[in-house]
Amino acid sequence: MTQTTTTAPLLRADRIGKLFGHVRALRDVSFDLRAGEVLAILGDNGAGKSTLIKILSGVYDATEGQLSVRGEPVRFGKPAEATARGIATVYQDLALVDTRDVAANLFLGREFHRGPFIDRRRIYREAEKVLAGLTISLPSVRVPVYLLSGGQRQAVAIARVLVGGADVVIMDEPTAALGVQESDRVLQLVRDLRDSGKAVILISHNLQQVWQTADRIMVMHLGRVAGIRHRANSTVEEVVKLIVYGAPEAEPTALTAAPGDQQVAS
Amino acid sequence: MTAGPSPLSPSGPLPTDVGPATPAPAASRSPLDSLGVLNPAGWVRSSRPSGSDRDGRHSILDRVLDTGIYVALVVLIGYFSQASPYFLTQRNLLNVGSAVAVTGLLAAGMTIALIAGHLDLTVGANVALTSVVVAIAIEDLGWGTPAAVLLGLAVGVGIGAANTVLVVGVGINSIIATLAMGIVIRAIALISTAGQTKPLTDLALPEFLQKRPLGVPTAVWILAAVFFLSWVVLTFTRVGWHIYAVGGNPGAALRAGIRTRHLYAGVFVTTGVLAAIGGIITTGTSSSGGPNYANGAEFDVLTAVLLGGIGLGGGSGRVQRTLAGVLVIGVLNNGLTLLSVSSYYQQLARGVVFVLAVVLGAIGERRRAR
Repeated sequence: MTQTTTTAPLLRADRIGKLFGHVRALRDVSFDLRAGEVLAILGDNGAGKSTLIKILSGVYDATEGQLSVRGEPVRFGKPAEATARGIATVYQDLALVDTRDVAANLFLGREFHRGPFIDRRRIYREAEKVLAGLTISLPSVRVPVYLLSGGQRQAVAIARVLVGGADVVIMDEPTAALGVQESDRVLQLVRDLRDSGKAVILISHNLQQVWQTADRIMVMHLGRVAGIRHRANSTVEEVVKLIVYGAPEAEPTALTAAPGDQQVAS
Repeated sequence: MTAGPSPLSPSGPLPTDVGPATPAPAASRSPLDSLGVLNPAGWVRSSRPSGSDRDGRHSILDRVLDTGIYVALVVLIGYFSQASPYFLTQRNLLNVGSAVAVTGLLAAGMTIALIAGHLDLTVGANVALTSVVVAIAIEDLGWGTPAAVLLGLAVGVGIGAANTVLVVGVGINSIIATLAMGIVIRAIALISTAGQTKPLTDLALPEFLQKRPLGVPTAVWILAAVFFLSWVVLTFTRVGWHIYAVGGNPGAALRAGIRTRHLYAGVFVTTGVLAAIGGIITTGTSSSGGPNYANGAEFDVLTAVLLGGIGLGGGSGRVQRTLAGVLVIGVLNNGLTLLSVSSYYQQLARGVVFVLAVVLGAIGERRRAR
């Protein structure tokens, strides 16, 4: 799969920082995210992963630095603004309505309608289309979500993000509550998303899963980027060292490191 | 592919389950694949058996819970029509309809509130206050009946708005908020008539309710219209779908851009107005406004709603099932009276049915909680 490295990245974070009062949660976080890649974000608890994710998904506003989407500087006041820019987050709790069926969940809040009336036929037809394109198999789009397994629920949550037209999908620990088999199915789904040209940011604690899925790995340490590595170019040992000890002294800044990685990628 | 085998079908190897979009890159698969468990269809197969087990284990119970209320209604009607020659007459059936009209209106409102994840326990007091206000407007203030009816509806809107302020604005649990509001509202009704029942001398309202267009009492028409409208709104409109969503998972609804506070306000105003209509009907049928009307009506209402199998957790429930629950109570009361069962035993029957309804509700709840 070839990448067009000449166009502006889908998402660029340039020296993002976040202060909560006098407490610094993030400093100088920079990275690029391109269409068709999976960027994993790793880091110990307190490394700043959650803060970064919340900035990207519009929950927090960054106090320093600049986010750009397709080369255009952006500022998100609330999650809806990030969603409008094509950045969608699959939350850990999935935000599904258990008592409603798959189709109702897929189109939650953006149901097809004619005037005040729901266009049921179109909702169910489109729901089947979305799921058919996603390698997800569910008993039916009319099954209430509470009857689904953990992996299937995750799939519905991901599919909903795609219904919203997202280009960047942020996934917070998508496999945390899943067994081995279901985790693998979800990770396959993540790879499918990448292959269909989406950019995926994957937050995970599981190195093995990251290695199975990610193209690049960004390690955070104490609110900074400890390093960005191409998976094919790195080792588990190196990444673990970054997680535990942070950046080695001579670490070049993230932005200058990224293009080099890209070169190797294509 | 969703049109494929039903969740109940035995789950053997079903390679056709997988859509045409399935990539089957055996080489690129994870090391876990070497365990031999996984293939592109593996997920389906791994999850489907548990699903069908679940369906299989619960299918009988599910069916009982899904259709039980309708079966109960048919059985009761069958029994009473055998036991009493008067039961299955048109006149008596319309009596049942008239008798449950007010309870039914309150139950329709309660169903909508419960689907949205809230309770409204002001409905009984609302009936009383509306009836008192309408009677005072007609008798003491000399208002015409239409104006008094509008004032009564405004009382319903006001109570709904007050409940919204407490539950949505202040953030008090709706059970506590509406329980307290109910006491306040009934107190206001008692104070405004000094505890007395206020008879109507202007009989326009009672006469309107005695009309029988096409042979059916006005109150029954109103009840039918309200249930039909509720069914249409809940099943076929965006607002209805959003009510289910907000009741099932308020956070998810909010994040999906649904304006939950507006919805809650709409729901409380709806229950308030439906109760006010109940109060106006009560005023008409009794030709008086009484501060003690509909005392404890919440229990009949909750019995009916729970018989309909609604989940107390919000996000589920069907208004047509609530109607069946209302009719079960109406038929039971009517039938027992026709059979001259003493009122003490009737009270026992109501209590037992209430317990039964709660038990059914609990079973349904546990089933949903998987």
